Amino acid sequence: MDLESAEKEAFVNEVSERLQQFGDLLLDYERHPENADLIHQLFRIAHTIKGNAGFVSLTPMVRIAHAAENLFAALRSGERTLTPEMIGALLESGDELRAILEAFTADESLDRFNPEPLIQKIDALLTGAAPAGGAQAGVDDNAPRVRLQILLRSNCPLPGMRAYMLHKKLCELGAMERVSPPQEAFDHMAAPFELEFVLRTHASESDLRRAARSHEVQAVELEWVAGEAPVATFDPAPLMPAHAAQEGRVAVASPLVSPRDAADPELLFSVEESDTRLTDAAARSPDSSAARQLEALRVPIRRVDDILNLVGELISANSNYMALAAEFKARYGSKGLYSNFRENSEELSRISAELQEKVMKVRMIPVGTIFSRFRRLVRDFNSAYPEKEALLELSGEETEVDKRQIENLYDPLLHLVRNALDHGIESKAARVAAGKPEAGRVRLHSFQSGNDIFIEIEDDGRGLDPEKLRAHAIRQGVATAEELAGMGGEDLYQLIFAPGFSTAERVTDISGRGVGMDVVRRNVEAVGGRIDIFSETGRGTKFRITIPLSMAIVTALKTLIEGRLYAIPISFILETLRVDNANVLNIDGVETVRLRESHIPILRVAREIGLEGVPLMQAAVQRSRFRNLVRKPVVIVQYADLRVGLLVDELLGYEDLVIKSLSRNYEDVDGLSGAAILGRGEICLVLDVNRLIGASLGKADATAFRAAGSRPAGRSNGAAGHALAPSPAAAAPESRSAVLTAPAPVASPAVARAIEQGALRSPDELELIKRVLAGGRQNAVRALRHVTANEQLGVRFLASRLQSARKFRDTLLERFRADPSVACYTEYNLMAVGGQALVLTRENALRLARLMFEDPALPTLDAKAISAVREMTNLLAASFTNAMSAAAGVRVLPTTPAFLDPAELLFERGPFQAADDARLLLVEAEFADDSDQSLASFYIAPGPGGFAGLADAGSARRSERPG
Amino acid sequence: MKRILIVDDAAFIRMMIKDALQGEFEIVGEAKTGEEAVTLYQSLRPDAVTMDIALAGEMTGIDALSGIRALDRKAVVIMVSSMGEEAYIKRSIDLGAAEFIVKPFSKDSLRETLKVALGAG
Repeated sequence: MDLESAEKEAFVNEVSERLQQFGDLLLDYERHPENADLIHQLFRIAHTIKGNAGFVSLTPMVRIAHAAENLFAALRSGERTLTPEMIGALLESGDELRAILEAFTADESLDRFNPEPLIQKIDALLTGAAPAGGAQAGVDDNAPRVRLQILLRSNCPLPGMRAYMLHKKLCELGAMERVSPPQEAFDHMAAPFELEFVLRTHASESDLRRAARSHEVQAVELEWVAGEAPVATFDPAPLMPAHAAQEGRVAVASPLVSPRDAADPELLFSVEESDTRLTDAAARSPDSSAARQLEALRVPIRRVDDILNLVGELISANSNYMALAAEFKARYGSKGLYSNFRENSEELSRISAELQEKVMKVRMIPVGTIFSRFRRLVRDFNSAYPEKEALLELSGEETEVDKRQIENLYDPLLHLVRNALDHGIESKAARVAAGKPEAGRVRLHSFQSGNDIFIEIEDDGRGLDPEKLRAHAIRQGVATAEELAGMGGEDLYQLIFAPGFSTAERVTDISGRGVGMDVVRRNVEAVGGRIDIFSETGRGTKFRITIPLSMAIVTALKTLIEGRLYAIPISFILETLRVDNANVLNIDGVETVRLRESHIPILRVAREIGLEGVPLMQAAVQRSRFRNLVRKPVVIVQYADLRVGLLVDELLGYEDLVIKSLSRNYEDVDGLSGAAILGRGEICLVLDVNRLIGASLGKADATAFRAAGSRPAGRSNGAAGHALAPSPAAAAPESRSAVLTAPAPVASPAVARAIEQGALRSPDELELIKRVLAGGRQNAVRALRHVTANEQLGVRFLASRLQSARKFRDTLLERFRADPSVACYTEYNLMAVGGQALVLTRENALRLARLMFEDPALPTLDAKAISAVREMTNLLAASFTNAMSAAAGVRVLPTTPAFLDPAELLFERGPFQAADDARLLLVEAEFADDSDQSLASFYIAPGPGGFAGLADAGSARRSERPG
Repeated sequence: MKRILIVDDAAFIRMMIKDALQGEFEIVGEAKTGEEAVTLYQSLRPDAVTMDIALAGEMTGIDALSGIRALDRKAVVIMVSSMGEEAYIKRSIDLGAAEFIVKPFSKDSLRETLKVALGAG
């Protein structure tokens, strides 16, 4: 092969990319054989590979691609219908082609490749020489033997039962010879749920596949065992190269792990989905680097995700221990058992952290795999535009990035590189005239620092021109001249992220029509990252993408806003301060705080996310002589080139959060990026700092906001200067306090206070209540998930409290007057009658029903809707009585719920009748919905015996129960 | 459209199932007890039955399954079960249940399970 190395590289890149698509498309096609577009694309790919290979005289490649192309043509015309054998043969072709390509890349001899068996096999499938045999009754020793490998979905409920069912159905078709795992072990299977059945049968392949079908079955692999297959069934072994027969099945993206691989303790995990190197080429040349890849096991990324999720739960569970330890210390002091407890918990922490890190590592791939794709782009650019020349420099390619993230970053990177080539790099003549080297430089650089990964795209071109940007922004209507007047360079650069903004002077093949810097930013933000611009006119532009190491687990600062938990990812946080009112200055309608030498705009997060709160500068507080004591924490975050302070109510310390994406209903809420479940089961929403600030920048005061943020402190500056009040003398240094680092102990102060104030009889009763509450809440969360698979419907519990019945009644009646409500009542019988009730407004009752039925069109609070409210009451009541049963050791059952409309009827039922000082336990349950507002309250009225009665009941057992 | 009989003692679950199947299947009847289920099966002859495995009352879902299978050896009965009911599920498979589904289930998975059981998916 005397090819120019550039040409050779182009060929290899092209074919390699096509082969990647080929494999992916084939698997899609297998699932959607009706999709004409897929078959068309596959045909094109085979055709292109054939053509390219011909150009470099790679005969074996040409022949295989040609055979595949013929088969695709027959499939496309409908002359043949797709069979699993065809998919198998085509995937095998892909592997063989890749093996040939790799040998070619490494300048190895191609003599060892013999494509004939494969081509014959494809031709046989093409001419229809392999129709399937029909089912026959009766099984004898001569019946063909078939092996079925079945992969259940990873989230298959009760896999043991599914296995039992599959086993039974297959047994009905033939004589089972082998079952793996053995039937006794079905109930103890761990994910991935893989089953293997070997049986002798006269049943047809389609009968077998039908028996194995289920919604819970993800993949079925069927293989007639060599030599004894039905006449018409194809046996691949004799026609394939020895290694291909063994390796082919593993390599062809089968979701099943080969037992041979799984048994090898030396295996490395590789999650590179595109890794198709497990081919016979590797096996044939054991010393090559490709051979070492045999040590790697292809694992669907999903499985790694499953492990990562479990690790996340482990970490969550462990932070529970930390909280328990704090409580333990508070109660029993810090000696003896406590230090033991803590040491163990810390050890567990350390191990979980390490495990987390190791698992996350598995998902990482070097960023170079993406970088190298740009070589081609730059070469094409150079040949297409001879008036320009660009050199691509890559560095930091070894930096490892989460595979999912990097895949999502490919498009934005491509866009930025194209922009650099097209708009950044000047023509050779212009460069020379400017005293620069003729060839422009585009540099892709990546590095890791702390918890972040940085990817920079830098060019030494003309840089961004503030004047042009300004003029363009006005022309495009992105900003007005007035707004732009006060903007400095870096603020201006942000304009290019505005939708539709483009300064492209011409449209080229490479960068297209200047759409999409806003898309670039969106894509980057979608993986939890941000993008910054640095530019100097005439010297070049640098884009820096910063992404967190992994999105799955994020260290975040927990904060309290309007009584709710919100977390801010640490990657955004610069520092935290406390400010008092005197530090808050209003500049052009933008509130700012002073930080050392500058003013920083602040955002009241509560307002931005729609939880309007008590204003900090409330008149009463301002007049108060204690006003300087009202200090609020401000979290300073970085947004592009801007520092912004987020005003919250309280800081609760840092924690590693396992971020789950929000359910559908939350998706459109600006400012939230996900939710995390804390150790105690509380839900903590994660603030999406970029969007939060971005949204407020989008408002009318954006310019003022920016202007306020970029202004140095204490200096009058232009028209806005006079609005700047004098800075309070002592404010700056004193108003700052150290960043909170330790997690605040989670306590339930309401209950603790009750015992102090004598609202509880004894510590035992408190213990009991706590147990009932904890158990009940957990039951409720589980039960809710149990009844419906509806992800939109979540429940969380607010603080529970004990209250006198009189107070309770008065408060509720007041509420009902304002909002007509309904209630659902159920009671249980223990030492005395206890009652439980779900109370909610009519409107919320309907909303709850809609959520439960996942039917937003449910018209009114009709019988159907009421059934949902009843069900929810039933569910909550049963959850708490279950917990009572567990705490007391006797069975406590709730009665069927009664629907009460209006809710006032509740005061005629059971212990809710009491209007005296009898205590009620109030459990506030919130159901998640799009408004993030409480939908319902749940109340437990334990009756005259109180919860103390539970313990008595436990010792007295059933005999003492009334009725 | 395939005709379905829904058997569950909880009104909410019946409605959930009805909602899930609407449009793709025809709901020909609903039963709250095992006895009702067998009687309705005989008169309606539906294509498939969704059967709560743990029916309250004299007749459990398992009993109703046997009752229905005694009437019609080819009856397609999908058991609606929960975690912790493995013993019942095994028993119902032995007794010829065509499929089973575990609560909580999504509407999709219920539809798919029915389609697979009816050989139409």
